[in-house]
Amino acid sequence: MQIRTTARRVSIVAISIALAAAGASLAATSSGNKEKRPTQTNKFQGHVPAQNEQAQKAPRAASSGNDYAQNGRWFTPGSGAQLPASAFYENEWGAVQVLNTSGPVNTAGHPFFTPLGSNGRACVTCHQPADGMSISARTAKEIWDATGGKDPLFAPVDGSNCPSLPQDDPKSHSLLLEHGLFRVFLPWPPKAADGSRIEPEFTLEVVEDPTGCNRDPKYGLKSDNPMVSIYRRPKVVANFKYIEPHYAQYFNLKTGVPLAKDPETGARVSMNLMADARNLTLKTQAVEASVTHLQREGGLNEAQLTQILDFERQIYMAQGRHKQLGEFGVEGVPPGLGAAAMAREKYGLGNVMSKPVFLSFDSWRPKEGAATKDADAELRASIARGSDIFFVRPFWIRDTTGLNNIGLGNPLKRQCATCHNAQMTGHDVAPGWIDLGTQNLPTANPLPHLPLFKLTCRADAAPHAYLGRVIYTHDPGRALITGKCLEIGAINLQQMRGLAARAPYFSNGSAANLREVVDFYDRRFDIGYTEQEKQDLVNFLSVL
Amino acid sequence: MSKAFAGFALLGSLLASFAAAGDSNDIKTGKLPKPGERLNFVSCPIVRDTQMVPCWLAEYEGELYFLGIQLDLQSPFFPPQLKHDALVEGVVSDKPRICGGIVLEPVKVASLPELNPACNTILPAEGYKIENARRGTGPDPINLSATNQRKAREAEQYSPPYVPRTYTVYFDFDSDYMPSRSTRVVTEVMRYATAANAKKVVVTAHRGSALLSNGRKLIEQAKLPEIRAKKIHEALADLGVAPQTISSSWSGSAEPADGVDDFETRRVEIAVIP
Repeated sequence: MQIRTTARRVSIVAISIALAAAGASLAATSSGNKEKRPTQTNKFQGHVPAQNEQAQKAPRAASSGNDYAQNGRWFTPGSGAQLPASAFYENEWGAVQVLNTSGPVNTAGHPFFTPLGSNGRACVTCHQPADGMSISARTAKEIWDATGGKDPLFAPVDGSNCPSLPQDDPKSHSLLLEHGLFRVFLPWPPKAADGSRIEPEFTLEVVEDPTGCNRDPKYGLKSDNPMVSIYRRPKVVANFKYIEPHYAQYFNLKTGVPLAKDPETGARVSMNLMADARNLTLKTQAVEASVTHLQREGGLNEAQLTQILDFERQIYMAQGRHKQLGEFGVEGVPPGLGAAAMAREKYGLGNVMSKPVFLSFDSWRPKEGAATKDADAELRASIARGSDIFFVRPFWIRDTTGLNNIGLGNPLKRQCATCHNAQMTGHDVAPGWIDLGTQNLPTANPLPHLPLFKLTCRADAAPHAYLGRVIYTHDPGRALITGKCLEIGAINLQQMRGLAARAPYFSNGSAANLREVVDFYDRRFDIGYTEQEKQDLVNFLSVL
Repeated sequence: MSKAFAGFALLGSLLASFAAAGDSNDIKTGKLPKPGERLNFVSCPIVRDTQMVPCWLAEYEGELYFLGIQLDLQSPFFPPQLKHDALVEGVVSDKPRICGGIVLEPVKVASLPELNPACNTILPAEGYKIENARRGTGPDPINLSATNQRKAREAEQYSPPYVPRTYTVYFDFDSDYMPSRSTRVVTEVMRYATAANAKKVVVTAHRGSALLSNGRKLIEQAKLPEIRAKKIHEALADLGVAPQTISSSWSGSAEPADGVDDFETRRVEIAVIP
């Protein structure tokens, strides 16, 4: 076959230079802080300098002290309380177990537990052991009630619907109190790692703005520092042995381009840490979190980062006890349950018959010829059936970008574990950003409390694979980082451990409880679960 | 048969052993294509809910054609997508019908990027079934994906003498997405180029076209070859091929289409010159 070539050499270097020249400065804003301390300011990347600018503008709480007394569950920043090597915290299904494999953690002065910023918060504020190293809406409500909303948890910057609202009014914090949501503010248009402007493939219009923040003159899209506000649940800080490694050697299956690299070491990363994969490493995540959530100027120093990462990499978490069936991790209990199993097992692909995602539940199946069936046996059998539904029961998975459009076909007749395929955690090793439909219309649950955006894709851009070029969404997800139409509404799958401790579910908190999670999938994919199947699944999810 | 079709032949021989029941349900037109005849058409794909895995079909001029079965990304056949038209380029075989469809083998199927909500048909099994597929609708039975990953990591090392080699990456029509079968090729280019300490790695992208059986001609968007070339260029550099050795070019004009293996026009060639 004849090759007709117009020889035009591509210079990647030239492209990079042009992009950099067109973009914004990489430099972070001046701290204005006269304290001399080692900083990471010069390592702020991509979206972080703009976030820093807004975070510094936002007011601090009227009372930024540590107002919430310890109740045996809540870790108050700076309290110095010890985090035991193993601890159980009660929840409605039993108790979640938190395991520190390095032994008890002395939190006094520990940067994860110390308010390092200007608003009284620490990492632990939103990553509480009792809540499976996330934080539940119920806990937020309890703290509001106990402190009159004065706890740093409710910091205006992102613990309220918008910093410009009256902060002493619980309505201004309704998304956190009712849905466990924090405000995430990102520059729009997006910024590349080098700070240059990414030209998005779509325009973004605010259709509904119930929090007022996207139209806010100081914090919104038309402010001096244009920011889009979306609202997300905090992810779990635990079990990173399973989250950090990358499964594919080189390529991201979803995008067909190489997996990103750690900007510091050059090593490839899983791209699975955050809902939108905007931070590639625990380190850059911690730096951004210190800027946005803690309103700290200048980032974190190396010693602080080392201590934070060391802590994060040794902590394991899973539901550890069932209120009716007792403790996990003992003889006769399925081997994948409990935090010790998380510490013991290895990272890998779990959508394989030889080693199911959450290992075998055979020990809880009814024994053949068993004389009597008691309530415990019935419950154990239900959980085992739930694990089967998760692992082997097929249904038509359809219209899901990041799955159906990567060569598997639309629809694909498979099971939950097709996407929830990572050993022990049930996230997606791929990495896992897909548009499940939780954010985009018409499949999202009714979410009148969240902003609604209309995104219109350019005619020459590849459209969203199943929604085309005009998309209404509550959160564009990964597309807010890449500007790609195809990725609108795509959110990374999260790990499934300790679910009982940290309702509500999905990144936008749109499922108030485990039953609503199951109901969403049932509707979304027209699965037709029976009532028994739904209950089995809920029972199964409750023990993870 | 072109090299690229070799994998499909293997699949075809496997499928030949599958049960084909209920031929009475076939769509009849009275004018059946002859074995060996090439059929190139754009139409809605159809999926049939067969046991043990679904099978994929397409209808053209009132006749139903079998394209392949759902497996996984290790399979040479990547199923098309409802809500999108499929570009089907295949050869009519003389094998027994599968899932009620005349078997196209070899066949190349590409999803077209624009939406077509009318493509939305899931047929019931109607007595058809697939047997002995490597994988059903559940978990991987033999840890195939994991095995492949391990093999990729333990891939055989190249050794001298190093000779010039050319690799080809095929794309779906009007698409710049590289699925796993394509990224495997790019990975192999990297492995050979770095082993051979290649002096040059030359990326050449083409703009494809397709001649359909009804005489209609499809031509890819003009921008695609450039996007494809840059994507592969950047991927190779990212994977560790010395950036100064990589050069790229792309064709502005469409490759001629003659209705025979036109999918080969939608390609990027990568020459590794030690």
